[in-house]
Amino acid sequence: MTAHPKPSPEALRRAEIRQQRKSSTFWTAVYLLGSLNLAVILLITIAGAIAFATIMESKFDSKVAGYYIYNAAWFNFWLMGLALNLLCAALTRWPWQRKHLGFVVTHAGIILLLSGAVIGKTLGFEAFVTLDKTKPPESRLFMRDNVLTIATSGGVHGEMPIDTDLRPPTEKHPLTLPLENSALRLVVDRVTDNLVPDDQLAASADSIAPAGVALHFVNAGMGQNVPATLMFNDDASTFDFFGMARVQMVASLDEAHPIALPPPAPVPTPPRAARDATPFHETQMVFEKALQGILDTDSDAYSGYGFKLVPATGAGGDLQVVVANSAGTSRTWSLHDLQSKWESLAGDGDPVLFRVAKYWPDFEVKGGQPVSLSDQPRNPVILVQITGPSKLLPPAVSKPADQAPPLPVAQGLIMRVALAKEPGRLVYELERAGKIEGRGTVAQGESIHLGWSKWEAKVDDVLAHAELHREVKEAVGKVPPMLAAQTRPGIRAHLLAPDGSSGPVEWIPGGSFREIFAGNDFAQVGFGQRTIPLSFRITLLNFEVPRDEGTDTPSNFISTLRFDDPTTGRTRQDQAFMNSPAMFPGDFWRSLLGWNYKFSQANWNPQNLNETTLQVLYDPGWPLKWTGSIGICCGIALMFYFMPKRSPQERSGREEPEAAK
Amino acid sequence: MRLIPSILILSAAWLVAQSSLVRAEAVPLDTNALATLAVQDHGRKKPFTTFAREILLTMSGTSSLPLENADGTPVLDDDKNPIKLTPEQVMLDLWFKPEGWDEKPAIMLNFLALKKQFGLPEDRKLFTYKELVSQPALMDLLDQAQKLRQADKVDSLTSIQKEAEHLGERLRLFQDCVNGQKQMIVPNPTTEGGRWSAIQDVSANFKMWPATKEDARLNNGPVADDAVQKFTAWEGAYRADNVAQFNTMTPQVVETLRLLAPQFYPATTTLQFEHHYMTLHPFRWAWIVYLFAILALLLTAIWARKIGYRLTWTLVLVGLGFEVYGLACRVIISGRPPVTNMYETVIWVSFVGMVFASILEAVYRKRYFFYAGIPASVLTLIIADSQPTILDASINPLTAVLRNNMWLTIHVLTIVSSYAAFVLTAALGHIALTMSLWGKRYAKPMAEVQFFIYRAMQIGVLLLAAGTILGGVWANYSWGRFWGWDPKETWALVTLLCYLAVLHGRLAGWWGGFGLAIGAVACLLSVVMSWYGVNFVLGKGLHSYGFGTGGFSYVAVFAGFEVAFVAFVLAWNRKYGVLRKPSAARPSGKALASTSA
Repeated sequence: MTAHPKPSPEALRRAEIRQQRKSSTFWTAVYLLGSLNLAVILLITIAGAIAFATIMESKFDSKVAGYYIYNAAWFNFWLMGLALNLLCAALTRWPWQRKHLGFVVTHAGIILLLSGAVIGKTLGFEAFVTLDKTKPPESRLFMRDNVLTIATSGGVHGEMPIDTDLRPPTEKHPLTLPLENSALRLVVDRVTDNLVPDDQLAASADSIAPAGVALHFVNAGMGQNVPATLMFNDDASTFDFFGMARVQMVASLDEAHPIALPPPAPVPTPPRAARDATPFHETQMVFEKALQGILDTDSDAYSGYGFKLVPATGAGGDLQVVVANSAGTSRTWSLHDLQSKWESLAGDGDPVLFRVAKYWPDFEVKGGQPVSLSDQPRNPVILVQITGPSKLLPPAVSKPADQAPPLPVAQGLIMRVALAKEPGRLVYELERAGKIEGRGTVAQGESIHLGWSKWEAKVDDVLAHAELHREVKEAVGKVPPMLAAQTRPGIRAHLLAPDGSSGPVEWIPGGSFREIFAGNDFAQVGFGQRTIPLSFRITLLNFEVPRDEGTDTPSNFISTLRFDDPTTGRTRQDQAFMNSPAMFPGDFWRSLLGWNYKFSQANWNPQNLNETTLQVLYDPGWPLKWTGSIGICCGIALMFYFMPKRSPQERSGREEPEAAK
Repeated sequence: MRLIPSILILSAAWLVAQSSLVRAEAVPLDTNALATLAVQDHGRKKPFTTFAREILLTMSGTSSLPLENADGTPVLDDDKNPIKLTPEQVMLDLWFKPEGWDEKPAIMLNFLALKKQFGLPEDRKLFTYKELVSQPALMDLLDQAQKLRQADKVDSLTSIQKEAEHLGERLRLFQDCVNGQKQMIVPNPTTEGGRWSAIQDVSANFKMWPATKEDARLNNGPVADDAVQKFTAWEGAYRADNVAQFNTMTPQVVETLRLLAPQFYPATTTLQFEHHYMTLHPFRWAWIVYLFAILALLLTAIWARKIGYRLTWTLVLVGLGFEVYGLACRVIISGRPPVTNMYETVIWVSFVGMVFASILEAVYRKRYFFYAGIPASVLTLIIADSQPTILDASINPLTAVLRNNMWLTIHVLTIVSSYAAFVLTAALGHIALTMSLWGKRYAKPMAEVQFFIYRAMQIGVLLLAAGTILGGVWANYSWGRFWGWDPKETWALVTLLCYLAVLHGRLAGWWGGFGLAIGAVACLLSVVMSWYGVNFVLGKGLHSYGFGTGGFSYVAVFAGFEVAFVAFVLAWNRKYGVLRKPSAARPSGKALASTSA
């Protein structure tokens, strides 16, 4: 800075102001907090922290990143530091001039944006609500975090957040809460996502108690086991078999006319370990135009022989048959030669023989029968027969076509059960697509063949008078895929009496209450997502999912909603679809100021198109956020492109302390 | 710079290869006529030629299939040139003459772990249907993957299971093409977006539709019969290798199919326009022209400067013309802004980067913006052109959350344009840092370039700040919150903070023009992370519609090179150059000021 002969009057004036401020503690602090050095340190550390957070999120999940960084106290403190730094930096330029316009607008914009975020976080909320067209209107919203709600026998109600994700209570580190106005303490010592229904059927001494049946469904192929408990004349009289079938308990069934279930469609079974010398018979339909023939076999495996019909290379237009086995040996015959006699690949002594049994030059199916339309080989097809001893069959190899999941297809499958006349026996009826397929009686302990893929039903209990205890338990080990959809989160809790004795342990599934006892005292404990009551009701009038043409890919999600506020009598109908939220109350000023509930499309259930999940935003910080945003963008543009041209002296005189020297 | 001649030679060789391909066939397939056959696929109706190209790209990972023997050696024609099949040839062969195709290497498997598990040769990329479909290990992997999906545990799929699923999809695609199930060419007369059907289902479908009096028009039995007959004859001509007859029959087949639902069948001009775009390759022409532009500029660096500069300008404008035309085609075909997948953003970066370079060059006229901007543009365009499996050029319908042209245009175009400015900044940074290796010799031009870096960085910072905030405003409507620390938005913020730190550090006197140049190169890595890394490496968050796989090793090599380059320049300058004395870091600030005045 030696080439500085004549500082401008402006620079001198600023130097003077700076000199005066040096004696003030306030201004010393402002200059310290508003320093560029601090700004660069803050920028780099924030950038580093959030970059690290995204990597944490990808390695673990967003909750971990939120806990340690985004929502952590130190990080928010840091952001406050940034806001303070921006404010002080703007103050150091006081009194502002025209050239400071861009700088001040940008920095004020960031401060506004950050304060908007703070206001939004403290006074507003982000929640969600799941609506169903067929269910009554909803008037509360759900938050993502969980709470315990406690009501003691002393009449004290309370709500208390519980961390179930990052540091859930465990047996080693239980959550122990002294209850107000009570000598009891609540202990929560386990959190699980795997609570499954554990319905217990017990004989009832009450002679008017309804009949009950306990079944369980077993799938040998998939190693699954699904219990189903049914009561007559109760809300438990129907069991939904995962949307694929329905099991109903009815008053009575026609016991006198049993119907045998038709034999199951052939399902490829695993190959037998040893094969005998009994001959297998296989036929193959071979098309010139298709890659793979159609197979039919009387055995549990295929011969592994492949046939191909190809036009001969030379003149004459005769067809040739290429035969290959799984070992890779192949030979070619003219079609004519194979039509007349049995042949084998290896020649004499080879026990596997084949021949062309039929030939259609111009194949067509007419009236269900294969015929040849002409003598011209326009669409040649041959029928090949193969035979040999079973022991020569190669092990069965599953083909991609067999990869379909072994589940029954939804074809209107219904199973009805009723008590049989004879005690301890059950009558069942199987219906498929409106047609009764099977009917019979079965005793306790026996199994019913259902014809639903590989599923069987085992009868555990048949009671003329029963009572049902709906319990839950934690699933041990891996939850079978069929049951995975039914699992619920929950906590395990018990009460500690003043004498140190503990009451019985109770599982509390998410979204429900349980009464827990210790001695003669009790408390009602609920567990679930925090809810926000609304002063209005939300009704889902319609939910549409249009698709991309010719595909099942959704192209939009459109929820038509009606809002009713009984206190103000206000009613509004609005649509929430992609990129366009529905609003309530929705007038201009409320929308502008953010005093408004915004419903954005968040989730859907492909299995239930009556149901939609909406993200709900109430954000009074919104006006600050958008004015701040506009300020930042305009301020940067002003700084970069609309500043008065400065002389080199002024440019290098940016660091005023140096200029003052 | 030695790269450029080799690229030129390669491109010339490619042109020759293209022409020899045409020569090898006696009567070529009439692709212009084939283009007028509409196929419903992937949520839209497209020309048969586009369809064939996209299918081949998905199935074989290439846009022309080299014919290989089962051992992987190429099949040669009479002139000893390797035979390559066009997408249309492959598609028609699979459809009409599938015999023997199960033994031709046509299905891509480029994942080493899977090849190892299957015991297949690791140096091959294409395998036969037969080789792959009989792999018991593949069935096991597919089974495991399916079980995980049923249990809603998609996150725990391993990469090998995912690759097996992709392979399964390619095998499925092969089967569907052979069975004719993929070629949905029979229009649906009921609604505009109705599901089209395969030719073998035509009669069934047309009988199924209600034959009330109003709908009698729709129940187009005789026309459907006619279409099937025409189609069968067409197929027969292809099977008989009678290409000439096949070509003449193509328009007849299209016409009979069109008659089944004339109101919904795409206009011939629309289909031909898309075919024209697909065959023109405007972006390939753009990089070739840019390549000549940079050559003209380099060769006239010392003499004939004026003429060379004018020639460069002309060529740049021609290249920009190609890019504008190509982008306009994509907008017309898709009806939305051209920035919805990785391929389109790469193209957009090259285009906007070139626009910024041209504007700044027009203002300052010092050649440096072209020295930086043109090679960057050429490089990005070559990447887009040469990696069709990683950067998918096909035009697909938008995912639901992006369907808002206003926000898509404002937010995404702004963000991606900021990437372009940062790429230009980094290219200028390379020039400045390379100059710094010669010490004082280039002090003056280096100071100039450093000032240009500042200029380009300004554009980027403004656009990125605006784009990120606009993203928040969009998210407020679309997702119901302004900011949620989603990885993509977080990385946009990281990038912005990095550049702000570089700018503020210069203001604070931590560094000068040299530090700005280092920052310009180093901060590009944060751009690469938010542009590519979030979608292809982290793979989490709400911006999931942009996720993809592949190319990681290329990007890692690039990042490694940049880090090494910066480290080398720093070490060199610490020993010999501007960093030797602490005071030496500042003069650039003065030089910077003098250029701006």
